[in-house]
Amino acid sequence: MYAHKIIDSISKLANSLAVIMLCGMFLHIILEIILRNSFDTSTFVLDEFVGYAVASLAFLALGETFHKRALIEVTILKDNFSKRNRLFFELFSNLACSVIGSILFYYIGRSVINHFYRGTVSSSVAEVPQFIPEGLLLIGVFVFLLRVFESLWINISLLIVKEY
Amino acid sequence: KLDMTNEYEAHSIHGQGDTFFANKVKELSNGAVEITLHLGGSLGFKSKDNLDAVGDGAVPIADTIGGVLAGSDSIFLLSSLPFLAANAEEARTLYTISLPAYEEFFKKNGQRLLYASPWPASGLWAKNPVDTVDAIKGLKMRTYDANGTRTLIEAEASPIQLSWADVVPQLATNGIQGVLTSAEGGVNAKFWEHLSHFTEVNYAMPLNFVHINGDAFDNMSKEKQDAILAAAKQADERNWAALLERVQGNYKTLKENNVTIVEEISPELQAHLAKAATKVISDWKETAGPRGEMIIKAYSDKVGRSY
Amino acid sequence: MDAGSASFIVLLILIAFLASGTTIFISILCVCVVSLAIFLDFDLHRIGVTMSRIMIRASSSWELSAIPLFLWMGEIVYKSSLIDQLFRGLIPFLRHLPGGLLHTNVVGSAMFAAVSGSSAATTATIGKIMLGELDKRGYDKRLAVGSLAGAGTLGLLIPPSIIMIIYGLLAEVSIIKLFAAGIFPGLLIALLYSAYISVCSAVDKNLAPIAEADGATLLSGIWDLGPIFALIVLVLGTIYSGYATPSESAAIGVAGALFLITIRGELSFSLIKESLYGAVSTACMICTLLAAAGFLSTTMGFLHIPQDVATFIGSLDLSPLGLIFVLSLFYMLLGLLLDGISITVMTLPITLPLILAAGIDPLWFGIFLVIMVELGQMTPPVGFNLFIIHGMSGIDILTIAKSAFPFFLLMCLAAILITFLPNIALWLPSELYS
Ligand code: NA
Ligand code: NA
Repeated sequence: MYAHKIIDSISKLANSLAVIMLCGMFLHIILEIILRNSFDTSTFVLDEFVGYAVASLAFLALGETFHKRALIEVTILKDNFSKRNRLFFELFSNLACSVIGSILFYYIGRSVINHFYRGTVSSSVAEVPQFIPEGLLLIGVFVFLLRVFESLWINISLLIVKEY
Repeated sequence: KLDMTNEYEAHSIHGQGDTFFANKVKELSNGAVEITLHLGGSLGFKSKDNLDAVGDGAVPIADTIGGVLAGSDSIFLLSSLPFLAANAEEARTLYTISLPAYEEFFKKNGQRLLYASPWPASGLWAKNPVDTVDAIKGLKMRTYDANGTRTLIEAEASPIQLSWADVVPQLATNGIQGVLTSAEGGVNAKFWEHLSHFTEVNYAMPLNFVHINGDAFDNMSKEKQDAILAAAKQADERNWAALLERVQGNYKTLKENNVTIVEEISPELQAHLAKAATKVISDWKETAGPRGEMIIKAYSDKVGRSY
Repeated sequence: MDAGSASFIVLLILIAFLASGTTIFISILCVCVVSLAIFLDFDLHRIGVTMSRIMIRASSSWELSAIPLFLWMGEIVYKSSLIDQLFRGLIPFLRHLPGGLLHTNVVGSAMFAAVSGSSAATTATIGKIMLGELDKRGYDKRLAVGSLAGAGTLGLLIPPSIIMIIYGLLAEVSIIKLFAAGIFPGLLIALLYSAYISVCSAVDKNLAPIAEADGATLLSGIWDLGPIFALIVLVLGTIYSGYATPSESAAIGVAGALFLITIRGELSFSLIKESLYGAVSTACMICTLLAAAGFLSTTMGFLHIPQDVATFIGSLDLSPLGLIFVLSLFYMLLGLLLDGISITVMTLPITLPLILAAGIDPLWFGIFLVIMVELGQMTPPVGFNLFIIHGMSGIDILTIAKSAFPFFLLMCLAAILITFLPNIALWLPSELYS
């Protein structure tokens, strides 16, 4: 289906961004070590930038990790039910994810907008506009929500057409 | 009942100040207002989060180190500008002059400033006395904020940025040779296990700000508001008064642990540092605009030096 | 509502959410939302701003960066021929020991603990490298998983250690003395674990297959262990020579692993790509869990549960030994729900004065507290080592918890030994820095 394909590519793209974050923090730490030991200087923003990278990594990969079911869950109770009844567990779980995801999306989005209009920057020498790192997290939550809604849609249609 | 968050430990100067404030509020309001202190960042908020956390009402009261607010308003770099205030009295003068600007900032963000209190003056921790120009040149030191980094670059030292948790391991392995912080910071992390000298240069006395959510405050009865304001005033007085005692206590601990406190630095180094500071201060004046200019001017007139 | 019943209800809601099969990090966040709404009457706005702010803060952490980087290093080792060589090298050393390669979890964790400051990074890295291989070779799953759940926590006790740095700053105890004090208790626990594995395997021969010799000798073993050994020496060397901080050592580990596969001619685009994607997926799982745990401890802070209980313990006026006993129960209960750093930060302002008043050495108490925190990592419902091992092996959490239980008890035994023989912890620091 067309919608699934779009969601799939967006989610894969976000996941690749997460990979770039991991490479970026690796290179930044190596650069800092070299600067400190060979040139007696520093990038002055290591813990700040690596902090942004870790957070964006975690959030940007969220959609794909959810989709691959690599976010862990306790299945011990669910496994005792029939395939059809298990769908209700899935639906409940999807709903919980949608509620939490939506709250996070709304309030992180609110914070991003505030930072953007107030022009808040970080207090380090780099003066990073704060809407950028938080904006990356917002994108991550958005992709997560897309994946959750997709899963919700699939589970509902399975329940209706009884093709389980 | 109000929750209050502070990133610093209970035994730190600000942990003790906030405990005094919370007790005073309870006493003056006859128990009608109770402040639950969450020290050591135990609520999960860091100083960086406090402006938004209080503005949005996530926590009603917070104690925030000024430096982290510099990204919202450059006025918060003022109290950590190098060598502007030579002692506690001058730091307080500077604070009194800039108080309206601070109050206005918090008001603009839907909050109210209750009081601000100083950190003991920062100096140079190292294995040797840092009392000559040669001693500071190339010295690899950890700094705590952007002002410190800029000043030490100007002074031809080698500032390094590290997270506080990495400082002790780096000192233990000689990864860095010194730290720019107060005697207090050195006492908390037991620097005497690695460093032997604290050179008192009276670098700066940064401020911590205690602010309350505007709606939370306005929705309280007049009696409760008065109790909070009165307690804030007393806490303010107490914290400035406690500073001197605190520094003496810290110095005593340092002496017990065989740390040499270097009080005299060579006139050349003094001039060298002053020159480095001038650049940082004038850069700050440029970013802070006419308001910053006015504050510096009023302060210069008061202390009889020009910046 | 008093602290006891409030925490009991929080626990029940959490178990209900977890049992529904909802993703664990979402379950934890749901519990927080529900608890703040029903116990404290927080409105949606206050809950939303608090949750988003704390999730951002807890995940934007420099200390957390070691987790994705060490995972990446583990993936590189796992996906290259380094892993086969490592096991080939271990066989001649462990062949005659009952349990054979099962000891690699313990030995590997103890060694890795000397490099990394967190137990999550230790468990995830060693799990990535060892678990699949042990399973492939027909070793008993329960012993493999249980020993990893236990030994992975040594990341906190054997220096460097993030939690010791936090304790040292809070309690004004020397951090380097804490580091020194953790070494022997850490080795003691590793020894207890190895002894247990040996005894189990000697009694039941089915637990561990006899490792095939295939011509491997001690000498060829040393040769095969060379590359991994070089990697460990590189990381440890950069930390102890001051070239890198403990938090940066993970990046050194990645650089070392990349260098090794390059000189072995195995460097390829697909290996880099696969190792990166693998690391990102696991790192996402662990970091979002830690961020959710951060919000749970904020919730407990607003509910004031740890502080109220600690104050109550203070009012009991106990003897030193009685105090240690009650505090260990208290910390184990907190360990059911909270992560180690939160436990330390939230309770220490109240428990430390009790400890000092009872005349107990705060240096010793630091080690005791770290062991208590380690125990919490292996208990459900919130036990990070259980989560991480579940994420890597797919075995369900209760089975992992059951497998970890003997190792939980062995660690309790270590805590008792250290209580009655405090010199296990205190001898080395007094010898080194008196
Ligand atoms: Na460690
Ligand atoms: Na637990």
